[in-house]
Amino acid sequence: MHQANFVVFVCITYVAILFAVAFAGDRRARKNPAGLLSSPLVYTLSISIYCSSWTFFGSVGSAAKNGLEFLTIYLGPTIVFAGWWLFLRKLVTVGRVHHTTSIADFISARFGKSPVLGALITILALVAITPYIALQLKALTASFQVITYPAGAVVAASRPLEPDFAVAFWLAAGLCLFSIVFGVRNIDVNERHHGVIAAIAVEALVKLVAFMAVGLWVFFVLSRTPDLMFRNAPASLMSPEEGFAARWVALCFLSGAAVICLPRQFQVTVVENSSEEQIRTASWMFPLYLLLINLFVIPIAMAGLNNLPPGSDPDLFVLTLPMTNGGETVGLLAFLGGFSSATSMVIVSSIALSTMISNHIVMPLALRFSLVPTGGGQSARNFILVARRMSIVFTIFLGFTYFWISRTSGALASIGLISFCGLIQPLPSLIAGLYWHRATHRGAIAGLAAGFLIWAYTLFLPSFKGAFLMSADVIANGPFGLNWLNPHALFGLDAFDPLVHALFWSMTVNTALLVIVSLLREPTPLTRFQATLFIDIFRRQTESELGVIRRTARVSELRQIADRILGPVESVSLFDKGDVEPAVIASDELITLVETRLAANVGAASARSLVSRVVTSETISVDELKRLAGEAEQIRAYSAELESKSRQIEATAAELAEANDRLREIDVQKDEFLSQVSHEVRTPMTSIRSFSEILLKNRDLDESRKLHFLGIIQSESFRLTRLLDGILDLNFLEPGTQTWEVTVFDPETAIDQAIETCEPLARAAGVRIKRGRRSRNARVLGSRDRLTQVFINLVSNAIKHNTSANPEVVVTGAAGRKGFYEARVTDNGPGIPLKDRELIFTKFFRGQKARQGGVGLGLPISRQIVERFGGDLSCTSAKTKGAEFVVRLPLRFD
Amino acid sequence: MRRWEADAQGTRDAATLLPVAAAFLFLPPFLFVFIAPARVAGIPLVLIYVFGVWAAIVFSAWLLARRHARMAEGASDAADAAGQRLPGQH
Amino acid sequence: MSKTRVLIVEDEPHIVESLSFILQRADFEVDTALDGTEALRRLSRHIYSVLILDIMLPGISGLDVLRAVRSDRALDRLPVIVLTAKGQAADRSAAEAFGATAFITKPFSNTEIVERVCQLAAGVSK
Repeated sequence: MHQANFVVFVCITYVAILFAVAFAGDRRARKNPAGLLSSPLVYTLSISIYCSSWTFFGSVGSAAKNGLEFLTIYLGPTIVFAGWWLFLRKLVTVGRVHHTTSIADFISARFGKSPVLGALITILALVAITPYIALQLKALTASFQVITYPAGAVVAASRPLEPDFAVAFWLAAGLCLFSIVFGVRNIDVNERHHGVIAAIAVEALVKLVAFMAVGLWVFFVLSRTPDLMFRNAPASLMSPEEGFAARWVALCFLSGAAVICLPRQFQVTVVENSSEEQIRTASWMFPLYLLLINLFVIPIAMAGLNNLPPGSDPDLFVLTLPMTNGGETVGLLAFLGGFSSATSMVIVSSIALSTMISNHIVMPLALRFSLVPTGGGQSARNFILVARRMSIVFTIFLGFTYFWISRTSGALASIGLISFCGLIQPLPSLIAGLYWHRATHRGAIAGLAAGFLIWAYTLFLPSFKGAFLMSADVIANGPFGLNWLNPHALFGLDAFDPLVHALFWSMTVNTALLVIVSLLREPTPLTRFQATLFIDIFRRQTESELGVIRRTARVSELRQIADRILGPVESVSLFDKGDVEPAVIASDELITLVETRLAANVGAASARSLVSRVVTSETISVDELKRLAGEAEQIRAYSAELESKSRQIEATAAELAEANDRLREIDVQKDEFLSQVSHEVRTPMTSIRSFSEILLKNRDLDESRKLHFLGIIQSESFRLTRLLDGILDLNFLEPGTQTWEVTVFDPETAIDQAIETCEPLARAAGVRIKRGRRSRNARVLGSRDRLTQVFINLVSNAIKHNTSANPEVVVTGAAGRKGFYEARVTDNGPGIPLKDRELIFTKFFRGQKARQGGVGLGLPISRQIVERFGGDLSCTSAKTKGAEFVVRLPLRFD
Repeated sequence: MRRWEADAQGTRDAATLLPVAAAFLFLPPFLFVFIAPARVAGIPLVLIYVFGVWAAIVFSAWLLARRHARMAEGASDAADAAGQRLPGQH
Repeated sequence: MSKTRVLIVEDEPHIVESLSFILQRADFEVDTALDGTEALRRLSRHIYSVLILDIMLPGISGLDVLRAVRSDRALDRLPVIVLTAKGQAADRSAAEAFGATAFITKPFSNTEIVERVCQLAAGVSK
């Protein structure tokens, strides 16, 4: 045994060294922020406060009782850190960029700076961590009692030791002092604590060295060979027990979540983080630390089982083994290791919690009831410091009270797990907050509250075994005999042990409510804005984000707040930019900057509430927000839109190209037409000019010759006139240029009139016109005169081009099929070659041989007229010989 | 530049795969294969397996961290070259 | 010595008639063809001093005739007056490319065409 005084002296000396380290650390950090204290090594060592006295003493106890199971507590974090790229990286970056002060601050800031959410998480953490702190006090007290037990450590460890609450009280008091002096000593209430981190890193080294020293000592002094060591190995090492799989998976999940969500872990991993390099190194160094500290757990447990009398408390093997086998110095080192692990855990936990309590409970209440001193100087800042110190004392003594009341009978590990299960309830909100834009603060509150209540009901209250709030009967049979409400078998789910059962129900309901309640209502604009800032943290940030929230505040009032909370030094750096004429109204940038700095001190929710007091108007630009909100979606939508637009543009371009082609074609047609017209006009003009010149110059011509030439001039003039008439007709026929008087009439009358008109021409050419079959009472809609013109055209063509020896033209009319009237003009002339049957309807087309007289416009004009009346004009071949033209017009029956 | 990007993609893929592989190796049912009444040099097989995998993961994470570090340097070099800063670099 | 011989290729009978008249008056011997086929046939049978060629011909076009003339060794130096109309720049440039000697635009002046034919016929006889 060691003398109590000696042990106390060692402890105090050790604490003094730690204090020196912390003090030097703070000074160094102020001089050189990027120095050793921000090194990845120190960062990783600080994260190892995960290994509290629960690890130091409890792992061995658990290994002795349950074999492998203790490993799950370290495998979960190993997976999480090895997979830092997936989640931790984002979490840490968001925390660093937004100067998060705690997990409560993180979640409350993410969900629209909700004060309720911050307070809820703070209360949850406080309740859940109390047994954990009690656990540390118990371990410290027990280890102190064992190491100083007059009858020797073995005796102490093998009999039920009544906790010495006097020792526990002084330890608690010492821890309070320690935490206050280290953590909240600074006037600078900043989110980072360099000094404490330095001390914690030293403690991390001490506990690792101490534990490994014990392990090596056990191995070389007691066990010597593996065979000897594993002589009495528990069966569970070789074969899985019932329920092993579920518990193993559940514990891995639990520990993986805990290494993120525990307030102290969040503090050291996220809040104290200053660069990505730190987390990158921690991704392998922290698993390595865990591996090393666990390497000797089983050897120590086995040695304890082999060498200590039955009934010895396995939770204290680390201490009792060396003490009873002549390793007093190793024992003292083990005690120091345990002391380190417990104190570092309590210090960081209480600092983290005090920040949460002061920022999320004290400040909001003080602001609500105007309790924050408004006087000048340091009063407001002192108020915050006092609030934090009080919170530390409160937290630690809550743990002490729990220890005192419950006399913590459970083994260290089981208490730790109960605490873990409560503390990881923020996990769903944390994950949703980092990945799901739609998550709302209502959803987070609902999920957290439900998870918390289920945890309390199924795990926390039953852990008192009927001593607190919940009776033993309720624990065994459910309230009011309702067995489906049995705390250890909700809805009859009794396949799991209580821990897995509680974890399953609390996480399931928590997540489900978070999702469902979030989907019920749209997030508020501020929540949406914060979601964008958090979720899109790796998106390159643009200045335009400042444009979302537009606020107005007087610079003087804003400065007053900054002076009070941040202190004059920082305030000067924020406000005095050397402007000649200081602005009266603060810019959005300045307000945001001040709020950010305040948030780093008192949390986002309180900072917002502080700033809101001097802000006279605030609008969150919904448009800006929409622009920002899910820029990724926007980009996706935008590119989809672009795609559809470009498709549209392509289609339009194709249409345009088509239209252009058509226009060009029409243009070409127009040019051709003009060129043809000019040619057609020039031809008679040429003759006219030439012959008139001949007549003028050759007065000696004989009379008959003169008359012949004059005749040519006359006929060419007529041709010219017909040509111009035809062109005019064509123009009139263009759609929409002219309306004719349209009547319903008998088309046979048009035929009769046309034949009458052509009779002289036919007689001159010796052609017989035969009137064939005629329809009775046929009625068509159109212009009789125009239709007559068409028939004159057809009949005169048939007369002119008929080279037959016995030329004749037959015209018939009949009501044809499908409600059409059909008139046919048939001749017995040479006929029209198949290839020309459509060409003859194009303008200025004339048969090769038939050049005289015609201008080549008659058929195109005729076709256009007939088409205008809804019919058609086509050329077929006569049954025997010659050409046949068919005019079809729709019949009218009214 | 392209090779650097391919490396970066490979590193990211590996970083995603590592925790999945770790979870697979550490959790039942795969773990059950090694919880057997067998000893290697007197040490239960499962202990050798768990600590062996653990060490392998630490080693892989270390390799990955080195590649990430090089990537980050490359990225910040590229960003410096472009005269811009990456978010979250202080 | 026989008279200088001119071939008129034109599908409009009245224009053929007027051209024949004025050229005969100017003491040329005139042959006429109403289409390209006939023109080529005549060109292969007789030697002409000048060819007056209308561009717009039914069937074988004036351009085709011109090309045939220029690709024939015996005819490649035959002066060809091409009758065009304004607004047929494409035809004109094509004819130029195929080796037309001169262009006369319809409606033409009788004097101009006689002068042109005389000039070209003289050039050939030299």
